[in-house]
Amino acid sequence: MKRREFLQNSILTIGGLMVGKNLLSDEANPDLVVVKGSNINSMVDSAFKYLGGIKSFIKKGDIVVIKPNIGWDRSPEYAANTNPFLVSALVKACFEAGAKSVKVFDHTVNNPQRCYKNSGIKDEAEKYGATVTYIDESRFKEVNIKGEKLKSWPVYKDVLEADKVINVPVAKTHGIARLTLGIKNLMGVIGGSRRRLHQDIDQSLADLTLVIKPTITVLDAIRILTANGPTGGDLKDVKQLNTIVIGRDMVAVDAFGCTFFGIDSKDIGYIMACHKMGTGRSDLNNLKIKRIEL
Amino acid sequence: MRRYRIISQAIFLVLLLSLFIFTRSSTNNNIFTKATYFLYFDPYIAISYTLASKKIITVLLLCITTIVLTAILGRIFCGWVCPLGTLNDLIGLLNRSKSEVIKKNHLRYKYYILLFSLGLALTGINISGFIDPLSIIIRSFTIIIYPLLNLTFHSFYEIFTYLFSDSELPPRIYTFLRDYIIENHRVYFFQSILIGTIFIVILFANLIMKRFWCKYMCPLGALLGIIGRYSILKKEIGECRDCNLCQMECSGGAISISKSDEIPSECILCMNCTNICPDEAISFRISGKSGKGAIDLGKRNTLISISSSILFYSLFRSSITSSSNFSSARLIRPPGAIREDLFVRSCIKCGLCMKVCINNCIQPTLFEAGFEGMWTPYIVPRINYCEYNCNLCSQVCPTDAIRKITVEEKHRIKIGTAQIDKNRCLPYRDGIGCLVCEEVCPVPDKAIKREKTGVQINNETRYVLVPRVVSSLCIGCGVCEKHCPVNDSPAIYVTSAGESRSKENQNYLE
Repeated sequence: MKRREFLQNSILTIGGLMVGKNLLSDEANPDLVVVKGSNINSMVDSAFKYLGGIKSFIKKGDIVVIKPNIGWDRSPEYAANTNPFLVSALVKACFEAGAKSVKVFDHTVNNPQRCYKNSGIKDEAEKYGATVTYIDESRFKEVNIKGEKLKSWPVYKDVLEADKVINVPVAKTHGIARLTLGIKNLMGVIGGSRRRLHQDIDQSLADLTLVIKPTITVLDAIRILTANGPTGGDLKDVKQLNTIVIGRDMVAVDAFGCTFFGIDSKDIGYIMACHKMGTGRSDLNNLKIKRIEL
Repeated sequence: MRRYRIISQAIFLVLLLSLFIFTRSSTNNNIFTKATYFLYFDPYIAISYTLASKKIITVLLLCITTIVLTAILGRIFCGWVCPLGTLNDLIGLLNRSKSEVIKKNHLRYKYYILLFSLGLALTGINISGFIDPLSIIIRSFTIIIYPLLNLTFHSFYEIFTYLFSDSELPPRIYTFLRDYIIENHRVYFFQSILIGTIFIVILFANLIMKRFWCKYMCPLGALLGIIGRYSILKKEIGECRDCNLCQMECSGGAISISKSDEIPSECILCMNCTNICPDEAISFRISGKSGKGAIDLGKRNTLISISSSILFYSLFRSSITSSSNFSSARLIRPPGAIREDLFVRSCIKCGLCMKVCINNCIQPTLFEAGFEGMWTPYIVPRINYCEYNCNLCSQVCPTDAIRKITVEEKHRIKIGTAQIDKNRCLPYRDGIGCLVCEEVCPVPDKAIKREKTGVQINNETRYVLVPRVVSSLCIGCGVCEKHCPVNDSPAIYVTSAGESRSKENQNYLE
């Protein structure tokens, strides 16, 4: 129990530090940076520049977890998984900021080896020194959530113990949740009977945001999946936007992500649930959004 | 010469093991190599297949190599190559009894088994897979040995992580084994106890009699014996003191009574006799002289074994599963499987499709496909589903019972259709959200559509999204069944109805 308390405390501390930082930051510091461009590396670099540089997130010696969506056995052009080059750009940025190690993984739905390979993420991330591992069922730890729906749920140990977590979802449609963005991507770091969460997906996801708090969320809208998500498989459903959205507040990133689909974030249940619980903000009108075109 | 025989046995055993282990692909559809190659050289399988299906597969003509080799050298395949024979020799080392009494008559049984099975094959029932030594060894490795290896490996790893729970990374040896030798997940098979028991019985029969299987039961040995009796390589015996040492050491039962009553068809060229002979009087030479012939099978017994196959034909076919109008709901064959009647004739139950399946969803049947179809592959989606972009099982099938298909072809092949049980489906039953089946459906134009429907709950109408299967789009992969949150009996499940390979098993007009 001591260990669990320690983990919770450390997560709260990290969360607290993040909030504190936001309050202290100067006026120009935007809540969201939206970058459109063709070179993913420079998109990531300039986005971080406006957020105070990658070094304000990643400290020397940090153990970083990068959590892309690798859920499906699909190649990158189908936009079912996170763009592999976005993942590798982040891996590179983390190491440049002095990270000790960068771990990349996802709790896949399809066969994990196939997903890791076909998504291109394993090869790309390993090229830049990331440790890409398959989910090991014995590494899930029951975490006390005390949410409205979820009282406790198994969460992947590496996420709980990481110094920093970078959430890298891809923007897609989804049957029951309507859209899958940053918050929905958290389902890839939890274990247990995940399929049961669908019965109250909105509150379940909102409850997860109580304990899983990524340092930063990078929404991949380089290609988005506009129909038949989250699996896709037809290039007709893929839209090329060449955009990424970066922000400290995962809920704000998701709220912005809705605009790509012409959906009001008020219609997305889990975003509203998070807003209500105060784990993030979805009132885009009151957020400082920096748009860059490269 | 005995030494060379042992080296050759070791090489072929290792070869089979490595081909077997590398019959896998974890990340894409390219198999490095496959154990199927071994089966191509098996004339018994080739002949049974050809008789039963009235077709010839070009690669199976490779078995002519074995036939020619046997015609020249005799049953060298049994003594020098056959991996089951090698395992028999290894277990036989435990058998210390010196004087084994071989009844010459018992050596005939394997010929009767051969004749019986070939007779059955003529009637269209191919039982070669049950009794062929290569099929037995590959099947047993797949169904029992390999899963045990996996289990041991994962258990060790669990103990390791328990002891060193703070380790950042799995050790390198673990990742190596996992990526190249062992599966990333546990592997389970139905029938493992049955198939494992048969394997153990065959191996431990060596304690009663060395190479019990090879001497009395093996139909492949019998076939090669029939050819091998005419071989050019012949044993020659020089000055002999009748010490009978050679008789005691003989692996095949060729020197069953005395050296003068030798049966060439039973000699497997183990070279124990040349090795043991104190006078070095025994040698093998190429010679044109006609051999002494084989065991006398007896006209009556021969006739009985062939004709009894007719009787057994009726017995095998008495099962309702052999009726073309009957389709077993849960008999979901792997994609690429040919028409059911041809499938059962072709499949030799080697189990390689089960070995190579990345999701462990292909399982051996018991009686789902009738007695003749025992241990043929079928998909059990609740264990796991058929991976959308995978066609590995079709690549390893030795007899094209699962024909070669490309991944693009596979995407169009329907192996069954998902059915929804509205009495169990959560949205229909309780008016709550779910739609996991819709989420995981891999078909680009999803075969499961979501529809808003009013559900009566306590006299109020609740509007919820419910799943609906579009039969024409569904390919029956079973990922919905695998992930359905309704436990034990899932609310969505695949049945074989609508499978592309069958004309009869269709629900719709068209």
